[in-house]
Amino acid sequence: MGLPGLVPALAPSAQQWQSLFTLYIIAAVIVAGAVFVMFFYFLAKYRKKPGAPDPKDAPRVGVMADRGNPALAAILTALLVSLFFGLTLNTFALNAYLQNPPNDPNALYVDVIGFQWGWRFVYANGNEVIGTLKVPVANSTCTSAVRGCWSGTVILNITSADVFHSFGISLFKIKRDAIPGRVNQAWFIANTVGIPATEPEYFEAVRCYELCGTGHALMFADLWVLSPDNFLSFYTTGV
Amino acid sequence: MVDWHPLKRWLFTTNHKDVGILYLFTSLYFFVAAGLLALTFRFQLAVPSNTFLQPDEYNQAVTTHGLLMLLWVLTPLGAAFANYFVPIQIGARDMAFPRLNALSYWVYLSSGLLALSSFFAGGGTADWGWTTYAPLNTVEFSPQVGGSMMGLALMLLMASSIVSTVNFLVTIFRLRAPGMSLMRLPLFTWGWIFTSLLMLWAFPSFVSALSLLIADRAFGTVFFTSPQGGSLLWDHMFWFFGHPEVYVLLLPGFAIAGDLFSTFSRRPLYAKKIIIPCFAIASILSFTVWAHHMFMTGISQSLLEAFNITTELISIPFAIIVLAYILTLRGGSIRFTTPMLFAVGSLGLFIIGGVTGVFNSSVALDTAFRGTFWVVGHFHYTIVGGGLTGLFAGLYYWFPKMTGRMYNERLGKIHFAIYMIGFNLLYFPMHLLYDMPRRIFTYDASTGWGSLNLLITIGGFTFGISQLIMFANLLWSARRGPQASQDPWGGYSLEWGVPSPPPEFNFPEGVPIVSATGVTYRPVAAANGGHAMANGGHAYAGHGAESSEEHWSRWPIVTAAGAGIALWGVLMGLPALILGTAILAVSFVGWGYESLRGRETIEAVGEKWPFDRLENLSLGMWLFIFGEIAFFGTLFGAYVFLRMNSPLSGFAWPQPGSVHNIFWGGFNTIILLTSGLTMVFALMFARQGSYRGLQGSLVATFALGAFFIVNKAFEWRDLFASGFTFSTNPASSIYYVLTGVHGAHVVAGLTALTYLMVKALKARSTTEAGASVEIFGIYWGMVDAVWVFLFPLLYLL
Repeated sequence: MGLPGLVPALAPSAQQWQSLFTLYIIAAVIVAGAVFVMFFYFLAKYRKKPGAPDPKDAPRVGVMADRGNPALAAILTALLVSLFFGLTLNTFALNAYLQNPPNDPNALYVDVIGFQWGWRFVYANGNEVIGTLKVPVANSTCTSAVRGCWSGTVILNITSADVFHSFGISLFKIKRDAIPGRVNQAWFIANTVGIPATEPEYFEAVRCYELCGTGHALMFADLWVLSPDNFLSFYTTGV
Repeated sequence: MVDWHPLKRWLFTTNHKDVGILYLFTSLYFFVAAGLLALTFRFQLAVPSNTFLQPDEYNQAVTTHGLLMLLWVLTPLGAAFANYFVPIQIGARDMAFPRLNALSYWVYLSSGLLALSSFFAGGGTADWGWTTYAPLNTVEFSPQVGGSMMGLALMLLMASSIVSTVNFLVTIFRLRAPGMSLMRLPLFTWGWIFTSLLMLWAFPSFVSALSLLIADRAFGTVFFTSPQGGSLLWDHMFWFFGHPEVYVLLLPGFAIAGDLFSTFSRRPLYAKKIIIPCFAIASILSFTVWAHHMFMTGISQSLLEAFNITTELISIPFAIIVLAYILTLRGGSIRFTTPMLFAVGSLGLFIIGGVTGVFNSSVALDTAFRGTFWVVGHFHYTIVGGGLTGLFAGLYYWFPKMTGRMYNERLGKIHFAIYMIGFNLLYFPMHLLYDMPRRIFTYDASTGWGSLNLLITIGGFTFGISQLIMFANLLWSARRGPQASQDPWGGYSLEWGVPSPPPEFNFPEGVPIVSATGVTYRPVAAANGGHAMANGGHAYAGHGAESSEEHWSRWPIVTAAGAGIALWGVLMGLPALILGTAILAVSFVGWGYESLRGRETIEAVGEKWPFDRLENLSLGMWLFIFGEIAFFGTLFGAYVFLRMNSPLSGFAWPQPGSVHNIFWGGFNTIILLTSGLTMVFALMFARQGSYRGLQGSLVATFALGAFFIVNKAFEWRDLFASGFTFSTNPASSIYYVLTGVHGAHVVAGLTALTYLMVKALKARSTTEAGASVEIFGIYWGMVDAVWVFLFPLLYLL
C-alpha cells in the first residue's frame, strides 16, 4: 500500500488525517530527538574514564543520598501540557469533522452490514451488493439548492450481523466498529474517480479491523468511486 | 535446608528465595513456549498467501502467544525477582506468609499447565485474540471446550496473583527493618509496591469479566449475547482491567532500570522523591484511560474527548521518570556492563514506545491505527522494550547474587547487540504497516506488505535466537562461572551486603539497622536453642540457630494440584473433578491442622508505617477486602450498564416486586445481618475470655449463615419454577450471578468458620483464638456489607 505519507490524499478525511499525523510526527521527532540527544550525550560524556575515582556520592549498601531539583518536574509538566494542548485542539477539530456528517440533502446513505466473512452494502432503494462498495465521486455542482444528484457525501450506517467487526477504508482514513445490536455512523467524500481495475489501491480497499474468526483475513470489499453517470447507472440497475 | 533432599526442597519449600528461583525457571519456560508460538505465526506471515498455518491454528497461536506472554511470563518473571529480593531489600528474613507464597507459585504453575492443556481439549484452545471480544467469545461463535478451559486457567492464575499481591504488600509495609523507611526503599521494591496495588485493583475486575463469560459459556446467561450487554459490556469490563494490566507489565522492568542507572553510573537516583509519586500518579491515572481502546466503538464525542485527554496526561509522569533516569547519569562514571546495557536499552526502547503512545491517544489519528500493526508495534516497544528488557537487565544484574558466580561478560554483550538488532528489525517496521490489519493469517501480494513482513520475520527469528545466547551463558556460568564477589557492582540495596547466594534467613550478621550513613547489623542471640518464638522476639538469629522446620510445607503443592485437576475435570470429566475436589479438601484440612499446631507467621521488628497498629493477618485481610471491593464493584458496574441500556433496546427491566419476593429477600437480609451481630459477640467473648460465649457465638453465626444459604436455594428453586432462569433475560442473568457469587462467598466463609470453631475448641486461651476471630470478622463484615448493597439493588429498585 505504499509508504506512509506518500499516498496522494484521495479524500478530505485522508488529507486532514495526513496533516494531523505530520504535526504529531514533527512533535515526536523534536521531543524524542531532544531526549535521545541528551541521553546519548550523557552516556558518552559520563562514561567511566580509566583510573577515574567514583563520584563522592556514589551509592553503597544501605545508602542513597537525596539529589535533584524537583522544579524540573514542574517545568517538564508545563511544557508537555502546552504541547498536548496544541496537539489536542487539532485532534478534536479533526474528530469533530469525522464524527459529524454534514447536513447534506444530497448525501448517499448506505447500510453496511459486516458478517462472517464479508461486507454487505444496502442502498436506500433496496439494492444490495456483497463485497463491493460503489459510491459517487464528489460533485461540486450538486449543492444543497439542487436536487436529483449526489454531492458525493457518503454516510454509512454500520452494524454487524454476528460478531464484533470493524469497518475501515484505509485509503480514506475512515474507520468505525461494526457491533451487533448497534449502528455506528461514519462518512466520507471521495475526491477522484477510481476503480480497482485501474487503481490497485481500490482493490480490497475496505477491510475488517477486528478479529472475527477464521475468515477475518479474507473479509474485504472492493471500492469503486464512480462518475455521476456511472453511479446513476449502477444505482438504478444494481450492477 | 542444605541437608534436605532436593525433591523435598524444591517441592515443599516456602523460602522466598527458592520460590523466586521456581518462578524464574517456570516463567522462562513459558517464555520459550510463547516465543515459539510467535515464530510460527511470523513464519506464516513472512510471505504472502502462505499456507504454513491454517486460519484457526493461526488464531490460536496469536491468542495464546498474547495470553502466555502477558500473564504467564512477564509478571511471573518480575515476581521471580520480587520473591527473591524484596524481602532482602526491606531487611526481612522472609515474606509475611511463606506458605501462601509457595501456594501462589504452585497455583501459577498449575494454571499454566491447565492453559497449555487447553490446546488438546478437542476443538483447540481459545482463538479469539487475548482481548477475547464479545460475542466471538460466546459458545455460539466459539464452542470449543479449550476456550472455556483457558478461561478457567485464567481464573486460577488470578487467584494465585491476588494472594501474592496481598502477601507482598503486607510484607513490604510491615516487615521492614529498623530505619528502613518507605522512602529509603530501592526503586525495584517501590515498583513492586505499585505493581501489586495495580494487580490488587485490576485483577479482580478481570475476574468479574471472566465470571460473566464463564457464566455465559457454562450456564447460558445472556451477558454477551444480548444487545443490552453484548460487545460493549465486555469492552468496558475487560479494558478497565486491561489498561492497568499493561502498567503491571511495564513497572517491574522499568523500576529495575532505574536502580541500575544509579548503580552503574555511581550516582544517586535523580529526584527519587519525585520519581516515586510519579509512579503513584501513573498507577492511579491508569484506571482512567481504558476507553482509548474503544475509540471506534461509537461512544459519544464527549467521552472520546475525555479519554483522549486522560491518555495524554498519563504520559506526563512517565516523561518525568524518563528525564529523572537520564539526569541520574549526569556527573557519573558509567560502566557499560551487560545489566547496564540492557537498562539503557530498556529506557531507549520505552521512549520510542511512549512516543507512539501519544499518537494513539489521538482519537482522530486512531481511525488509521485501530486494529492495525501500528498498535502491535507500539505495545511491543513499551512492554517488551521497556518491560522485558528491564527484567533481563535484572537477570544479569542479580545472577551473581543468586548463584555466587559471574556470567560471561562478553557473551552478555553479544546477546545485547543481537537482541537490540533483532528487536528493532522485528518491531520498528510494524509502525509502517498501519494499513495492515492485526491478526490476519495471510495477505495478498498485491497489498505490497510482503517485504516488510519478511523483514519483521527475520527480526523475529534473530530476536528469538539471541535469547539462546543468554540461556547458554547463564546455565553454563551457574555451574562453571568464576566466583563472584559479594558486591560486584557497588549496589546500594541490602542484598549486596549479604553473601552470594544469601543464607537461609538472609542476614547472617543479625537484624539490619539502616541509617543515613549506611547499614549495621544487630546480632540476636538465640536464647532457646533454635526455635523462633511465638511473639516474634527472635526474628533473626545467627547461622544455624534457627529452625528450618518453618521453611517447608507439603500443602501448597497439594492444594495447587487439587485445584488444577478439579478445574480440568469441570470440563473434561467427573472423575477428575471428584479427585481434584477430594485433594483440595484433604489439603484444606492438612493446612488447617498445620496452622493449629502453631506455625506462626513472621513477625515485624522494625518499620511498619503507616500500618503500625494493624497486625500482619489483619492487614492482609483488609487488603484482600480491597480487592473484593474491586471485584463486586465491577459486577455492580455491569448491572448498571445492563440496566441503563435496557430501554434503548426495548427490554423492560422488571419492576420491584414483580419477580422477586421482597419479604423473602428482606427476611434473608435480617438473617445475614444477625449473623454479623453474632460475630461481634464472638469477638467480644474472645476478648472477655469466655469460652462458652465464644463457641456459642461462632455456632450461631454458622447456623445463621447456613440458614441464609438454604433460604437462597429455595428462593432460586422457586424463581426457576416461575420461568426466571439463567438465560431468561439480562436481569435474570445478573441476579443469578450476583447472588450466586455472593452465596459462594458465604459458603467459603462457612468453611473457614468450621476451622475457627475447631480452633476455638482447641485453643488454650480465647485471646489466641481471638486474633483469628477478628480476621474472619472482617471478611464476614464484607460479606454482609455486599449484601446490604445487593438487596436494595436487586429487590427494591
